[in-house]
Amino acid sequence: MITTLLSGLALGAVYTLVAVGYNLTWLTTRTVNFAQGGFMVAGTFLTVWCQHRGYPIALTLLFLAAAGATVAAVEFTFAIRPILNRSDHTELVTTVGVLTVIQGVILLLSKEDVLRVRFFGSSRELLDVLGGKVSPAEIWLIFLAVVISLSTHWWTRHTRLGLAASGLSDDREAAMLLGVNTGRFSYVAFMASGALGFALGPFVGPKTFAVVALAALLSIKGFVVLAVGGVGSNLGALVGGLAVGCIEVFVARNLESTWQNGAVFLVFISVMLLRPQGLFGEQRERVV
Amino acid sequence: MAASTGSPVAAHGLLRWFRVPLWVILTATLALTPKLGLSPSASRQLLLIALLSLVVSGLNLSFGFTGELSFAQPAMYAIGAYSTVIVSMHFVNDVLVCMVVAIAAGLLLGLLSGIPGLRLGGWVLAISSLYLVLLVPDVVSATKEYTGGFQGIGGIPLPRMFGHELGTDAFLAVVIVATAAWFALFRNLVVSSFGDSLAVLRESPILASSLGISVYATKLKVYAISGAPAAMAGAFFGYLDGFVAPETFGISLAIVVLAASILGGSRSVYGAFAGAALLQLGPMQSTAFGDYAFIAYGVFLILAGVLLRRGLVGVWDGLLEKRRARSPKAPVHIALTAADAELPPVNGQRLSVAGVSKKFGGVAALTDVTFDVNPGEIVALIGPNGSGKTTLLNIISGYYKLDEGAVHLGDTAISRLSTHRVARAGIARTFQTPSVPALSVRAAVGSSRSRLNRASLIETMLRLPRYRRAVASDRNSVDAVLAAVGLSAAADTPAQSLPLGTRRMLELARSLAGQPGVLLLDEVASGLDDEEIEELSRIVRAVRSQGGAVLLVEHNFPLVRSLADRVVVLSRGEVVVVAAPDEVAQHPEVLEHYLGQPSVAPTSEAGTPS
Repeated sequence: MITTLLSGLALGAVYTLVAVGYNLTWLTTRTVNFAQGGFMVAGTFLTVWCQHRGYPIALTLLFLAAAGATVAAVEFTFAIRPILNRSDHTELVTTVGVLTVIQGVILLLSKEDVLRVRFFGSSRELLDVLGGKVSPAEIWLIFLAVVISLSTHWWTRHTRLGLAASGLSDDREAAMLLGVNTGRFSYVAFMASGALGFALGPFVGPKTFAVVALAALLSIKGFVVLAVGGVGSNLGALVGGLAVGCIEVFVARNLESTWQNGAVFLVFISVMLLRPQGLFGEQRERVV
Repeated sequence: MAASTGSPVAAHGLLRWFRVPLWVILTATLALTPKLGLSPSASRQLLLIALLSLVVSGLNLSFGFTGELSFAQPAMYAIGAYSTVIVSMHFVNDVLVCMVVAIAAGLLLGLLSGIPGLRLGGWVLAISSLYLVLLVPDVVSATKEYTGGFQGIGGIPLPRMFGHELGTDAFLAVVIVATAAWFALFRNLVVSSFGDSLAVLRESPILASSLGISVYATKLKVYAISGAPAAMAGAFFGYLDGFVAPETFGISLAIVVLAASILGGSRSVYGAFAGAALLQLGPMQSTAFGDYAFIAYGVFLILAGVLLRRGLVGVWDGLLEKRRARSPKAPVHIALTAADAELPPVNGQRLSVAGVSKKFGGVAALTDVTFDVNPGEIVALIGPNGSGKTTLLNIISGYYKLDEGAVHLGDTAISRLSTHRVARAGIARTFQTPSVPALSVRAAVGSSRSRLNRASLIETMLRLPRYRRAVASDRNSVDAVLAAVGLSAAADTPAQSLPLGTRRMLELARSLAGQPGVLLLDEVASGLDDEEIEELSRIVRAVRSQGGAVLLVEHNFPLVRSLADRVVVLSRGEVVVVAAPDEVAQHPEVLEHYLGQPSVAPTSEAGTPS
């Protein structure tokens, strides 16, 4: 029971971390970067590559973050910035394109579409927590999800910089007039989301393995969590993510594993119908 | 050929007479290609192109024609394929039966997944449709006994029709005929008054609902229909190799379909076939391409999104427009011709506004507003900026819900209805900034008649007599209105090429063509020169003398004086006085607050909610 719960929380933590990445770029550019799941999967493959080379964890993290920031900056330059002022959801197409390119590059370079990822540090033995079994990687995932989502949540609501960042998503033009450097903010936010996505590789990999096909799945589930929690809210991302992870694991355990995606879909659709702004989202007045 | 502008009657002259024979000959030729010496492997390619083009055409319908991106096509394709698996193996092995079952299943899946997805649209629709594709293997594995699970299922019998087994050539013929039939239906659907309302909806959902078009219901219908061709293609796919596995229907297929759609032009009918053929014969052929396929498709999507500046769906439209602009026939400027006809009678209804109040947050925008507009009467609504004129107009037309009071049109209470229902009840309006879709003037004016349109989508697609009658009657009424407002000469011009003054006239004509009970005119004279205002006044007077009821929101007091029978003066959301224009002009409070005669500080410029 506790084991299942912990495993659900860890799975949910992965979704939460994808959703936090979405929020970073959403808050600054009003763009949902569908490549976010691809960042994470690329991070898991690069982790394996680093481990082969015997890099220590600190160097690996540094390398991953740098790689992620670069990839995201390239993405922003070529696939997002040219279409920022369009209102027709073109970024739906371009970011799906970026995700597809990332998958293609991984397949081309690694020749394998599934790899096992070892966890850094001590050992792979399971820990006892509250009478349940849990791997160190899972503990790390839950810890990271809680810390990152809560601290960014606090940051966007209580610091000058954070408020400026979220002001961008409300009204880009007004923010510009008030002297917020929108261009640099957008770049920094994209690079941060890339760095975050890639650098989570060593923690996500041991849980999910490095799997190319996982990229789209993580992007989709991450978006579901984002929408359920409320777009723009990292607290929502945390609550939504952990809930979705637990639902999946409990459905798989108690009913059948083939129903776990269906159950999440049902929850997603129900929340969207009953509370379209999500659990922690703000209701926006209908603009005529 | 892009099929986005104009009604069928406006379409290319010669082609019009030869369209049907041409279609029959082309279909027959393609269907008989194996007999004409096409090699078996080439005919298989032809068949695969036909299947892919069906799937792509569904995406064109939802993405290109309503602007909602959906990735659900592989799921629709899958449900069609598994319909064939189940029906042919367990019930009856007949291509036509499988096709019908598949189409029904595709429509149902489209409807069910569209209901939540379209409620929010945009990203939510895109992701929930992608999720649907994700669920395909799960559903297949949960129904293993029938579908064979992850490993796939073999042993699907050879296709039969009416008890006869179909050989490869006959099966190809069936697929080609069915594909051609769908494309004919698809073309008939989008080149029609329904297609025109889709153009209105793409231009502005606000405009669409003010014309009585339900945005949600229209999108849902289109979305559900878009599942049908994909499901039909799936039904054929099930028979193709006698084997079906879920991996066929994955996200990579969704990417291929999207790329094919953009490549052929998403807002086109036959572009779906072109895009499918290009991808089927090009990248999907070569095995060397395999390693780079993902990268190539991804780069293509990024480039397409970034480079096609008119938006993904408009690229071919843009090219066509350029050609049109070069042709000498294209009129540069349309001057209003003198009206050469009487306005047809207008069946006006009484509009009564009773005790209407509305607050935004804590601010009272309107307090206890009461007045009537009767048939054969022009009532003007005046007041300084921020006095609540536009708010009131938005309440009457259903964009805002009132807090207290009631609005009646004739005996019908309209204050609780949604915008498109208000329009259907008989309220027509113009906008401060004219809202004009990418249609010909005639089609744009005719778009208000969708509320009167009696032809169903099936009648439209099959061009049944009722549809033809509706088209004829629409055309007569629209032409009568165009003649009365002096726009006859411009009937076939693109509406968006008109200058402002003519656009206002177009909006007026559009409102009148819908045979409204009440006409709301929102600052209809602003930005017009004296001559245009004169012409406009003549028409508004004609509406009155023909029995129409007109509510005019206007800043131009001399115009109000010359037109209105009664004037309602609003100030800070309250009615100051309702009186004849000359009386109003003498009213002390009006002089002070509105006309600004005594030396009082100018009225505040609080923003008018609009």
